[in-house]
Parts: sequence; C-alpha cells; structure tokens
Amino acid sequence: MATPQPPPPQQQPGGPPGDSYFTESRKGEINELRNLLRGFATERDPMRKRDIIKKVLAYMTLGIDVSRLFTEMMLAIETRDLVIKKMIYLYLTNYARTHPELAQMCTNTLTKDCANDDPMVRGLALRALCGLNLPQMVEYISEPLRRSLSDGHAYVRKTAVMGVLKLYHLDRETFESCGFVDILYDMLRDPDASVVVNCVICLNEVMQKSPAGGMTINRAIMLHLLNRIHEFNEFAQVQILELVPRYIPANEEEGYQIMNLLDPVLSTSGSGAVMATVRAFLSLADQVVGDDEHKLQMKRQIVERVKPSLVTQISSGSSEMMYTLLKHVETLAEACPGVFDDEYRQFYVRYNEPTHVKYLKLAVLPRLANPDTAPDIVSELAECVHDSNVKMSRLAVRSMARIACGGTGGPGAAEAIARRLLELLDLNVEHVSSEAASALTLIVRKHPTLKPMVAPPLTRSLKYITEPSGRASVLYLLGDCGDIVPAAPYALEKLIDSYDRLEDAGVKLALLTTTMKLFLQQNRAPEVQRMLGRLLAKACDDVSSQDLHDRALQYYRLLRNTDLHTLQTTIPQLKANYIPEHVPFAEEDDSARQKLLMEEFNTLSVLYGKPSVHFIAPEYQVKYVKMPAEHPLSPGAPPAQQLETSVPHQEQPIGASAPAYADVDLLGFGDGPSPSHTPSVTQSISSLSLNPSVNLSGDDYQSRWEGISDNDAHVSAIPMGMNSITTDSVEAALASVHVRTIASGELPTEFKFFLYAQESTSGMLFLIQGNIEKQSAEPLMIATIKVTGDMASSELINQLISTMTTALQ
Amino acid sequence: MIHNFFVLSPRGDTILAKQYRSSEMGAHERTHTEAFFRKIQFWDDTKSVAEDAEDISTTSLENKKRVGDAPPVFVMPDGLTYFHIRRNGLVLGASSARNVSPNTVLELLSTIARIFKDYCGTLSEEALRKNFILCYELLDEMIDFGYPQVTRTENLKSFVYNEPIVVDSVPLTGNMVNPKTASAAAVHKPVISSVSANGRKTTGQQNSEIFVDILERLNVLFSNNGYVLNSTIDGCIQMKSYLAGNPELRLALNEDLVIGKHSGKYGSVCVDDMNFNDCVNRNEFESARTLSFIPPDGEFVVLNYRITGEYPTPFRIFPSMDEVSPTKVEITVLIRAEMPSNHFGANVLVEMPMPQGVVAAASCSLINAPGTGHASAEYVAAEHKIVWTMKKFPGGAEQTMKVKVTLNKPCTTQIRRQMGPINMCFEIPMYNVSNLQVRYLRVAENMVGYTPYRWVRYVTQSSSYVCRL
Repeated sequence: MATPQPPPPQQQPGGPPGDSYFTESRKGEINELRNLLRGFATERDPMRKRDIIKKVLAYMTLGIDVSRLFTEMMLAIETRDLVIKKMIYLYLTNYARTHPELAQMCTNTLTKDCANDDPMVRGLALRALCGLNLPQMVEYISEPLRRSLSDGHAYVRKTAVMGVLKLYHLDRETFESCGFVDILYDMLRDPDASVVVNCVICLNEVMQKSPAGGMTINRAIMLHLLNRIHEFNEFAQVQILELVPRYIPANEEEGYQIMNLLDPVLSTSGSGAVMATVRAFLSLADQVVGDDEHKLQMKRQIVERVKPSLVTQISSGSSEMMYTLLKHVETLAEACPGVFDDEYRQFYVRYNEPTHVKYLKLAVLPRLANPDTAPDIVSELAECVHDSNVKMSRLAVRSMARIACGGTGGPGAAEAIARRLLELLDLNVEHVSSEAASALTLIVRKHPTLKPMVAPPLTRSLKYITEPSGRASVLYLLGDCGDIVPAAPYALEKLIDSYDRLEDAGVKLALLTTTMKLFLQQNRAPEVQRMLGRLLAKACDDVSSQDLHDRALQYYRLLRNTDLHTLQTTIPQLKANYIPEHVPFAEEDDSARQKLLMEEFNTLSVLYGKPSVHFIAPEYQVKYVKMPAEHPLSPGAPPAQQLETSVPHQEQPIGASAPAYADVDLLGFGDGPSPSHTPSVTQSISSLSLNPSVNLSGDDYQSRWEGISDNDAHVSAIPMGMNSITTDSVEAALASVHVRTIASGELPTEFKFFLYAQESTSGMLFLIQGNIEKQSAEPLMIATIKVTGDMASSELINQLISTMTTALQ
Repeated sequence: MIHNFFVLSPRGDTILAKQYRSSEMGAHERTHTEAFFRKIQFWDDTKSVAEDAEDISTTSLENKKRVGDAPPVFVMPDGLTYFHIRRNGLVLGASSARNVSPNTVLELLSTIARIFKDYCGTLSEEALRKNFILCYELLDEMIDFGYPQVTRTENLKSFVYNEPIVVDSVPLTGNMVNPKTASAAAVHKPVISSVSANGRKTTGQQNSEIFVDILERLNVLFSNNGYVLNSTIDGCIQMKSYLAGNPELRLALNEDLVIGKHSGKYGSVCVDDMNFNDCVNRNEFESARTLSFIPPDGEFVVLNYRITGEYPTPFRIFPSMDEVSPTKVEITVLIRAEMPSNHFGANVLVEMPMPQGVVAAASCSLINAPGTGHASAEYVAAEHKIVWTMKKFPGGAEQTMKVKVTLNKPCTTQIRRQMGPINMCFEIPMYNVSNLQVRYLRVAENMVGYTPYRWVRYVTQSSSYVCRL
C-alpha cells in the first residue's frame, strides 16, 4: 500500500475542496481543468496530482465531454504512480472510440509499458492497449500480445488471453494468421488457474460458431480441467462446469467418477456453481446406457441428490437469487414429478417477499401436489386468494384449478377444489369470482361428473360477475350444464335482450355458442328458438368483431340447411369424449418444450420458458453440440506428460519397426510400411498433396505421437461406405490416397489403425489413430489426427479428412 | 458474459457505468440505463413484457404506477436481457445478449456489491460517488471484457492502489437500531488496513478483530387457533474479519449436530442441509464438527443452514375476532413470549392489514406486561393497517391488544377475510432458536501474544412471522 498521506482538504490551490467532484458544470470548467492539468507537471505532491486527474474523470463519468483535454492527459501518462496511470488508462479507453486519431498517439507509451519491469504495469498497459478497440491499432497489438502470452507473471498472461479475445473481435484475419488458437490450447496447462479459465473462456467464444459449438474438448482436456476444479474460484468453476454437458464420458464408470469429483461443489454457497453442477449432472445422466425409463430413473436420483442444496440456496439467497432458483426448481419438478413434493412447505408464500417471487411460488406449488400434500397445498392457496394483491389471488385460483385438472391430488381432490371454487364464485369480489368461473370451466371439462355440483349457482353468478373473461366462462358452463339448469334460457334471454350493451366480443361469442348449445339439446329447442333467432339477427349485423359475425352466419346457415332433429342427434355424438384423467389437455402438453428447456438448463431459457432461439439474436446463438465420443488417450497408453519429448523434426530413415504399443492389447503389426502403391487415384484436392513415398518407423511414429499433446489433436468422425470392414480393406483403400498404415489390429469390439501421411511440399506429417466400432449400424472411423510442425492449419486437416472420406466410400 | 455494468442511484442517476462490448445500435449507453430504470420503477405486473415494450415510450410517466416488483431478470425492447439487484437502495445492473446462466450473473452482481462495501466501508450512493475511482479500479480487476476475473476481496488487495474515502454510515433504517443486535454487516470499516472506521489513517498496530454472527431468520405461519402450520429457520454464520496476517481459524460447532432430515440420527440440533463457503476445509467436519479456514478479508458467510420441523417458537400469537354488531368488530390479539425470561424481543412490530375503504374508525387499547418498553398501537388509515410497536418484549410476558373497528357498512365474509394476516417483526439478541452453538473459535496455530478480539453474537430475527386471523 502506498504511504499513508493525509487527504488534502480545503487548502488546494485553484480547485474546490477534495470531495466535491460533482459540482454543477459551468461554462469554462473545462478550461479551468486544462489550466490545472498544465500545472500537473510542476506539481510535486502526488496526492494533489491524483486529485487533478480525478477531477477530470469525475466530469467524464458524469457524461460531460472532456475529450478536449486529451493531449494534456496524455502528457501525464508518463508516471510511476499506478493510481494516476490507471486513471489515465480509464480515460483513454473511454475516449479511444470517439477520438481514434488521438488515441493512436499514445500507442508508443502503451507498447513501451507492455515491456515494463513491473508485471502490474505490463498487465495494465496490455489491457488498455487491447481495450482501445481500434481496428487501425491491430498491427501494434498482436506482437505485444504474443509476447505477453508467455510472460513470467500470471497476471500478464491472463490479461493477454483476454486481449486475444479482444483482438478476435477487432480483426479476425490477424487473429487467424497469428495462430492464437493453438497457443491457447497449449496454455490450458498453465500452472495458474486464472490463466487456464481465461483460455477456456476465450476458446469458447472464438469457436462458438464452429461446428463444435465452442472449444473442442477431448478426454484429456476435460479430465485435466476437472481434476483441477477445486483450484478455481466460483466463477471460473462455472466456466469449466459448463463444458461438461458437451462431453461424453468414455464409459459409465467415468461418468460416475466425474459426478463424485463434482459432488463437493454442490455444498458450496455460490448458487452459480451449484446450478452449473446440476446441469452437468443431468447431462451425465443422459449418457448412461439404457432405455429412457432408466435414464429418467437416473435423473430422478440426481434431482433427489441436489434437492437439499437447491432448497437451501433458495432459503439463504437474496430475493433475486430466489427468483431464478425457483424457476429452475419449477422446471426440475416438471421433469421429475414428485421429487420436490416433501419440501412443499418451503414453497409457501412468505409475507415479506417481492411479488415476482410470490407469483412463482404459487406456480410451483401445484407441481408439488400428491394425495398427501394436496389438502395442505390447496388450503394454503385458498388463503392466498384473499390477498390484497389482485394478481396473486388470481394466480392462486389458477393454481388450484391446476391441481384439480392435473389429477395429482388423489381421489376426491377435484371435487374438494370445485367446492372451494364455488364458494369463491359467490364471494362477490370481482376478480376472484371471475377467475373462479374460468377455473371451473377447466375442471368441468376434465371432470364432467362434477356438473351437478357446479350448475346451481350459475344463473345467479351471471348477474354479478362483470369481468368479461369471467362472464364468458359462466356462459360456457351454462351451455355445458344446460340439461340440468332449468332456468338457463331465461338467464340468457336477459343478456340477449340487452345485447347492445354488451361490449366484449368474447362474451358475445360465448353467448352465441351457449344459446346454440341449448337450442340443440333435446326438449330445449322450443324455449330457445325465438331468442336464438333474435340473437342471430343481432350478431349477423354486428360489425364490431369479425369472428362473431362469421360464427353467427355459420350457425345461421347450418340451421337453415339442416333439419333440427339431425343436428340434435349428431352433434352430441360429435362432441369429443371427455378427456380421461391423467391425460393433460392438448394445449397443456408441452413435453417438447420441456425437453428443450432441459437441454438449456441453467440459462435464460428456463427463466423465459422458451428455447433460446426465440429471444437471443442470431449472432449470439450458440449451438449446443456434444463432442464426439472419442478418446485419444487409448485406454492402456501411459499419459503423455510422463513420456519423452518430441524428437526433432527431420526425415527419418527407414528403420526396423519395433512393437510400439506392446502394452496395448493390440495385435498384428503390419510388417513394416508397405511400399508405395500405384498412384492411381487422381488428386481431387489442389492444395493438399500427400507424399506417395513416405515411410516412418514404428518407434519414430510413437515418439512423434507422444511428442504432440493430446490437447492439440484434432478429432473427427469419418463415415465408412464399405460393405465389409476388414483391416486389409481399409488399409488398401487408404493406401490408394497415400495414407499409410503403420499398424492395425482387431479388438473384440473395434478395429484400430495407426496411420500416417506426409504433405509433399512442406514435409509436414499427419499422424492418425483411427477406431472403427464393429457393431455400429453406420460404421464410423473416429480419427484422432496430430500434425507435426507448427503449420497445423485446420484447412489442411479438413482436406486430409475429406480425402480419407472419399477413399473409404 | 455481460455486455455492460452499471450502478444507479435510488433516483435513477448513473453512478458507475462500464461498457464491455460495444453495441451495434450505437445509442448512448445512458439512454439504455434510463429506459431500464423507468421500466423497473414503473413495473406493471398485470402486463406481459411484450405488450409493455410498445407502450413504454408512448405513455407518459405521470399516469403510470408501479404494480408489483420487477423481477431481477427480464428482456428489454433493445433485445438485451437486463439483470439487476437492489442493495441499500442502489440498483446494480448488467445486461447481456447471450444465453447466460442467470444465477451466475446475479451472483456476480452481488459479489461486486459485497466487494464495493468491503472496500468503501459502506455501500451507499455517497460512498460510491466519493470513491468512484476506487470502484472503477476494482471493476477493472473484477471484470475484463465482460468476464469475471478476480472476485475475492483479499486477492484484489494486491491490485488496488486507491485508498477509500470513508463516509459516515447512513443509520440503518428499520430493525437494526439496537447496537447489541447489529450484525457483522453493520461494521463499517474498509478492508484496506491503513484506514480505520472514522476515516483517519491508523499508525502502526491495528486491532486484530473478527466479528462472528450466528444469525437465524424465522419463518413461522400460525393458524388462527395458534397452531403452527409451517416453520423453518434459515440460519447462517457470517463473519467479518480484520485479522492481521490472515491466520487459519478453527470453528467448532455442536458435537451432536445432525445433518439431513432423514439420516435417522438424533442430536440436540438437527439441520436439513448446510452449505459452506468455498474457503472452508471440511475434513474434520464429519468426525468432530470442526471447520478450519483461512478467513478471507471482508464480509463473508461461512455456512448457511436450513432447519424445518418443530422448534420452540419464541412468540405465540392468539388472535380472536368478535362481531359485536353488524358494523362493529372487536379483534383481540394476545402475544406470549415463550423464550426464557433473561431474553427479550427488541423492536417488535406487529402489523394487521384492514380492508380498504370500509373502516370508518378503529381504536386500539393495550394491556402491557411489566418490563415492556415504550409501546403504542394505532390505526394507520393511509396504509390500511393497524401498527403496534414495542421497544422491548421480555421473555415469559404476555401482551394484549384490543382493537375496536367500526365499519361504514355491515360486515360480510369478504370484509372479514380481508382483515389480517397478522405479521410480526422482531429480533432477539443473544438467543438462537435452533441451539446451534459455536463451541469455540480459535487460531489454529498457537501463536504467542496473538489474541484477536472475537465478537461472537447470536441474533434471532423474524423473516416472515405470520398468524392468520
């Protein structure tokens, strides 16, 4: 910490007291500042120096344009005081975009600072340099960046990695040509965790539009990162954990190992990390072998496991956190019904919560209903109906209806709820009665046996419910219960006679349909006929609503062209049979949406209840792609780090092939590389030409393979067009395009090939390990490709892959 | 991850703002925060976000009213998702165009709020305005290009060079008046050691002290006959450390602490679940219920716990209602303090909503037990509720309030339903309901002459203490 200095109070020359930075801006203020800045160089007291710069920044943050002081500010940049330096950098990055020509002037200072002795200064300067956000600066940025990536100090390295990302957004071409991606992959092994996580962030963002939908991960990278998970801070953990859903574990065993490794994260207090873990677990559960039933079982176990953590998070977090967590719990409860049931009391609405949390809790509660909990939940909801908050009481009524229709409340629940709703209908509170009426229509749709219970108060309630949606609902119910409400036509008649005073089109439509329904009921026609006629006449003349007009005409024509008896007998049969219990209404069946939400768990999608394509701009959409289930570390091979480093890159003489992978249960080494075949295949690709006479020994192959980190390996799947796959046929096919086989073998479940090829112009070697699964219906060769030399361009690799693909058809 | 970050004052002025990704729209960032602030200030529950998008620009502000509270995450018409949290009246917000994890962003915002408080001493508009350079410096280290970087108070120390200007702390509103019950959060002292709470630079030796709070918030729901319908305790142990040299600490809890509702074990304290700060080493927790950790600087929560099920409620509420005549209702509320008599409830507040528009008059009378501090009860017509306050409510005592309500029309079920529920706010110093105890807190290694001050406090507060009428 800097030496303590008393803050300079009033005795400041030329400036108001120390902390009144935010005085009204007057004319001439800028000039006054300029004068102050001119005195900056001669000022001795570092605290006063700071105060001068601070004043300028104070104006800047107020939104006052102080860019006119640019030149003066830049003069002050040559200072040892880090506080001043930081302030000027802040000023610089703020105005760089609007004053590029001025910002360019300070490039020199910044690049010089990037080589300063103090790592702090190096980091700061680099951040400022990359943060200028000026395309014309790119040429000055890339060199300091590259140097800083191998800086001795982690702070500089981590800043540099973020700088690479800034460069990517500034100028993709420079970014590509510098080959930063490969450097970043190398840096995943950095000893400092903050550097590693920045690499992950950067790679993910740079490669989000690639087919992989983010950085490519293979087993080595994933396990490397997960093993270090406890070194990372909370936010870094989230970044790492978000990779897990894209990774497919080698086998079930590994999946469980990952879960065990991540288990402690669940009992940390950061909700971000906890939620990311939950998502990782759920995705791992998707990978278990077995049918859907088994997977669901697995998911339930996982949700059961994370439940206490989630509930604790909800009760200990702030209301904001509670909101997002509740949304996620709602989704989980929907996906795995029953798991959260026993914690239902935790979801009771509390007195002091913000309304958005209360609403959510009301929406979650019906999902927790089972025969044991339903009575408690329903009576709790009934209390909420009387809340002074209108929306809350509406939601409470809807939630009650939901339990009744969901069939989860056990026998008699629907009836009990209907009884409560009928009470509410008579409560004579506008919104409650109206909402209760709407709820009852749902219940009657689902449980027609309740009709006799619902029928009596209908005609009465039609008089006092004035809210359009409620009125329409009561009318609908009258139509449905028409056969048991003797007074129904007379209630309707009053409305029909006052048709001109009805305003809402919904009510008119309901009135029309209900009258029609009554008319078509046996024995009711004579009573209703006249009023129906009057209604149709009015409705056909009504031009306020197209729907109404059309429907009235449709009814009219129907009645004119068909005789009543036919209608009366056919319509009731046409009416859909009532929906059996446990089958949701068609409009509520959203299992497809739910599946999408589970895939995007722990993102905004869950909050908005819709997949991300509906609210994220196309350029920010990231496709969720699972990495291919490949494993470049062959199970028996020792980890790469323990082996000797790569041999120098040079042409190798043909040597005797030693059994390189003796410890792998791999058989049948080919007896040395075969001599070159007839180069019969026409080279379809112009830029990639493979050397037809390349030769490599087994030893050489192995050491080269191990010399290249698994992190740099490229993995892709090549479809096999061959009818019968044998080692010979594959070898021959590949040899025709100059891809040589050094060894191949047949395992019980798969074929294994060790292949290589050489680019003829540069001498670059491609080392390829290919696995073909035997049982697969559409055989695929999973090829892990490593390239010697630093020219590993993905372009060439893609060409190699397409060459191999053609050969294997 | 985030595109910008901003802090708004309670009136909506931008105090701090930082843009991490340039927006293509080219609009000035302030117009966005202004639109955002208008949105949360005049949030309207009854509308969906979509229909609101059009009318935010058209309707004038005067005839808009806030209905309900704005959720912390929503989409604005500019297509970005805005996140915000409120702390001490300030709004800390961020926006993002990506499909990010909402929890992580909110977690980031609250981390920023906590760190501002750690460094500035208090979190208030004045403190941030005076320390804006420090705050920008912190922000630069915490977030780079929209991604969180260094987010721990002690790790930030080595990157931060500005010194805080300490402002007088605003007296906390509401319940935290009693100094005895003030929590660790109420210690207003920046973590940068050379500045003490009163703003003076300390010379040389500073006090080595650590504040430990065992804070329990009670959620209880009584039925109108005094039966407990639902009860939970949300507890936490929070600390604020000013220990020199950051020594490792050992914290021991009850030995017979049981975790997990269905674990089938018995103990004096049984919690449903617990979570821990990630600095906590739990190796000895299973065997000896002892935690060891190196306390990070500043304020932090060591662990959170949650208890459901039966526990002795400190207050029991017994309401009764009589309809004397069609337009007159008499409500009697009896509250009994059931904790031991050496404890007391402080700053007790009892509220009872009354129906709107029908109460002509209401008169309250109190029957006080001896030892009660100043108590009063009145009907606040503007808020439609009866407010009963007591400075002190000794354990074992009983208090009664009688309210005579005169209605301007005959009482119906609906009117009766709109009375209540009774909500009670209180705090009980040096008392905790769950019996979770700190057996000891000591420095792990024996250092001669190193005796930090340890301020251990137990506080029980009401979170939602409600009785139905």
